[in-house]
Amino acid sequence: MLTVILSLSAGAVVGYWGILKNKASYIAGPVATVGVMLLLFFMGAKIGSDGEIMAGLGVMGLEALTYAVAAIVGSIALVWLGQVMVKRIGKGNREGENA
Amino acid sequence: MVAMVGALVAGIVAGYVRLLPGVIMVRIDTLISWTLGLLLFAVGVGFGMDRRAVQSLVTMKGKVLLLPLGVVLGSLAATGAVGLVLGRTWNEGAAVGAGFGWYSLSGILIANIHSARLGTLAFLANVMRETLAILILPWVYRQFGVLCAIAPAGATAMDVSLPIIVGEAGEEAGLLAFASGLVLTSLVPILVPLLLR
Repeated sequence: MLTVILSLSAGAVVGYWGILKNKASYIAGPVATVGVMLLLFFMGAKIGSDGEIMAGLGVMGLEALTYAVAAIVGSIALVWLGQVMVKRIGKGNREGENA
Repeated sequence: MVAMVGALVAGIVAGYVRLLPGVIMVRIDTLISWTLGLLLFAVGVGFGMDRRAVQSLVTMKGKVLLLPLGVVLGSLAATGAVGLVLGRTWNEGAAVGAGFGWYSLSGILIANIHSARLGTLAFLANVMRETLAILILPWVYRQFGVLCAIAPAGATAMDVSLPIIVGEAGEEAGLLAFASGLVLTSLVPILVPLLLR
């Protein structure tokens, strides 16, 4: 949590004062791409080397996957539904104003 | 997306067959935290430079809360239903979903309050949620738009998933994701005990 807040705010200060302005745009893209790949690789290595996780996957991997997929699909569905409803309400209000 | 799956799978295999030197493995948490720190620094630079995005978040005010609200309702309803179908109670299922991808805390909390077995299940399910959310993010963004792309990330939208969200959808989406992730992160230690009371 502390890493998250510190890194983000340090970056925001640097960005706001334009300290890296020109250099940043050149290196930001490639650094982010390599960084994300490294992060995923390290996260994978942590999962793969964790005996408890790998053993747990055999026993209740499928059950866990069902919950994970349900949570993901449920979140997308509700947010999508909410978006459609907000749009409808907005449209209704605008039509009301015009009448 | 293929490259991201490749990197993750390569990591899992490398970790499982102990391909990486011990020096790296004992410091894996530090490496993850430094890589994440570097990525979030880059995200922060983007936030700092894009004042329009910050302003647009400020003008949204309370509407910002609609996104985490949808994630809470969607996650709990769906995992509660799965709980019932798989022979648990709805609230046990919903408690697993209330981790919102924050696997370490939800696993420990549930193991303490309920049982080691449900705790392990929550841990695994939330590791999978975090991983899958990152891997499907580009596809969900293209198919359903920015809000739906942020939703699966849950609590991780404020840290691990944040650089990927910004990379796909830009700074404005990143700020929204951070706000949503922050709300969901604070809800995990409240909702999990409430559901298992």
